[in-house]
Amino acid sequence: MKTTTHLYAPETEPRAGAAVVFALAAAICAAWMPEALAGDAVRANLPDIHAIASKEQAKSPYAKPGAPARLLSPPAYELSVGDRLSLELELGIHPAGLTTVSLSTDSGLSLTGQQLYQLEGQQQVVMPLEVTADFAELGYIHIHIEHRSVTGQITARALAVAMDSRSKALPLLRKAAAPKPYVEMQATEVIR
Amino acid sequence: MRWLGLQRQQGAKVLLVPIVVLGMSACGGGGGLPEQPATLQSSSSAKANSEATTTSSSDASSSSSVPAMVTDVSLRGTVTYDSVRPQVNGNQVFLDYANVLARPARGVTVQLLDSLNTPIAETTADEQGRYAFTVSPDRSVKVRVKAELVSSNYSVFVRDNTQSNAQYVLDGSLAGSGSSAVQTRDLHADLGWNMINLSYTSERQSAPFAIADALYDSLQMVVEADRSVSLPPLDVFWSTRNVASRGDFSLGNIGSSLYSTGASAIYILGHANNDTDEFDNTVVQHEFGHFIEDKLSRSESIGGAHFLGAPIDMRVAFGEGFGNAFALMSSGGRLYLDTSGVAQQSGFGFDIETNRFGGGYYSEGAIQSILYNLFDANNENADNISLGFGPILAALRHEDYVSFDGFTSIFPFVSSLKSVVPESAAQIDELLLAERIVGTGPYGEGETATGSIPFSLPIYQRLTLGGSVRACSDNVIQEYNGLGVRRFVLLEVPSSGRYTLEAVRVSGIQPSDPDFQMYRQGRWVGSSEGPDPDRETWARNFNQGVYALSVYDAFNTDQLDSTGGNVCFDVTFN
Repeated sequence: MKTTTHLYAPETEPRAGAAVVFALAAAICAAWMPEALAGDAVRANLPDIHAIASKEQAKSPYAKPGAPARLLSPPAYELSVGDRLSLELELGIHPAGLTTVSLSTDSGLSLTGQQLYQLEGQQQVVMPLEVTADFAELGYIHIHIEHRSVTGQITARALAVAMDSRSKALPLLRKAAAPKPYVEMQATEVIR
Repeated sequence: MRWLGLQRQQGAKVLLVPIVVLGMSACGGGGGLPEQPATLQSSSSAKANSEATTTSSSDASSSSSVPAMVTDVSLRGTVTYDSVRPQVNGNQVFLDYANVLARPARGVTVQLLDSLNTPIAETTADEQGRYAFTVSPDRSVKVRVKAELVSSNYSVFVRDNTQSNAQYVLDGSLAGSGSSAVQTRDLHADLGWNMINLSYTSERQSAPFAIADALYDSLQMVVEADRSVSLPPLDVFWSTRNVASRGDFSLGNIGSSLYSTGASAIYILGHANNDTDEFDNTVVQHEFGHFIEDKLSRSESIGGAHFLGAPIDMRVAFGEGFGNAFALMSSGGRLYLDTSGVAQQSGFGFDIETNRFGGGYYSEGAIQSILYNLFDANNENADNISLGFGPILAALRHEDYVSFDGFTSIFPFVSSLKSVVPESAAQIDELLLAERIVGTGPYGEGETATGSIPFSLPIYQRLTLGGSVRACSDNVIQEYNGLGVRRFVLLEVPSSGRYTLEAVRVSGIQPSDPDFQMYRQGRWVGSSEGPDPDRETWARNFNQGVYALSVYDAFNTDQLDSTGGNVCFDVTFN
């Protein structure tokens, strides 16, 4: 089985200490990619009779670079207005170097618990929190991660956890609204 | 911001214009001119001539009743948007709201609409954001600016994925065209930022136009490199609700700014205080670089998260390294900057001229360094070459590269580039050596860097009919796209027919789950991902020639830390 300590021991590096340990399981995008985004055009021109074989090319989206961290706990929660929800946010992080994690929320959410973590040598961090929704809306807990590698290179990444306290009737209302072809924005205009 | 204050004041006066004009028209005043019906020129001809014209069947007769009145009004103006740029102060990377500039909305489509919102003319803003129409006098019209870039080479549209994919437009007010020879209408898209609250408090109008403007730079570079390029349409989705949370894209839960090959679309983050990328031009251009590679060349990158310094699948390393290099070629700078955080006052960046992420053909940092040094005019250390983008694009589009039997990586690219600029082969090799890449030819033969994965070399194994190779898989570096998760096998098919591929576990984790993915000259053929433990069998028809096979263990790609590990299979072809 997979070990919990994954060490990337660099070979001879071209620049002193440039390569570092990267032991994180990755691919933040792969598991949550919507079906509509998952398949490229079918390109095969041969019959494929294998029962399991797929003609859909499995790819994750090409995401932007950032700090070596990912969310291990669920990305979304439901809660009622006024109720206090206890949860544990769990991150997979890079064990080498220094990782700083700070938490904040959208307005409309109240957060209780430690909101700043400085971590070194850890592969995971569990952050217990209590969240209260002050209004019926979709809000987010923001997770800001900054990683300073052993060579001093800083990378950052933002993650977010959805806190949904909206009325369940809202999706029906959304569907009833006719889509518009344009998002019309009124310009600041000078006519002369 | 000073500019905005002025515009808002003047904008209040503007509101009087349509009211006065419409009032006069309704009362039969204003010289007794009837409302002028207009016909729409074809948009292609309107765009071909920088000045679009509306015509009227009644123009001649009506103008004769008022000899002093002009027959045509030149309605012209400038379109601008508020631009805020990422900046660096020591280790802090931030959006510099103290220095907001009004920049021209270059290349966007500008339309003239009648009172029913029907387009009657269309043109394209120039490099200064200027547009011009010719319109009948005293015609009630409004100017609409569409967040799009359209030419014979490309068509890019900025849309809102959280509002049924509606396209962003900036509208002026409905007002009479007047009776003077010239009427000027300047339109501006506001930032929406409140310097007192240090937050966005009004509509973020300038964001879609900032995205379009970043892409304008990239598109100009590509078209200048090859005027024959014809890109498929591209949708770029941005919303203030696009947040770094995974889930339903129509709700804004896009997880990251990204390019999707399946949807052939770019998604850009926009949730304030979490991560906004509309003004991080290098992030936008990075994702656009993926589109360029995918549509003008080929890409077998499997995507996924990447952390710059990790040894990763060479296809991902090349694609991401190209994305980073392309962004900085487009932007004209050397700093990749990505802001995020509370009030967009944090983030990170790197100088592409200084690779601190390690070398190797599997290093995104090494690839971006090589590609940028091939491009840029600055020469330093092992960089003794300045090709510009033309030869790089030519290499990516070269038939030898596009039809290459193996997978995309730095190796086939360099082979292709050497055929484009053979006189620069020695300088190209210098750059590779500086990044510790010694493999030669399109298959990287003789490569010595293992990236700490002993079984990762040779980069390709060759499998012939009746033969067998040992292929191992390990997630020790990272799940899904880490170096060593997938082994590459070139399958040599002697003649078309039905054959069987089989992988059987011989050592390592148990249970294992070997799987195959297969390509032919960069085109997806299919995958075999059965659930049976320790064995995968794939019987199918093959054409004569070479197939590129990726062999891996499913437990090393499932995103679960608790599964997977080192495992080896014997792969046979019969």
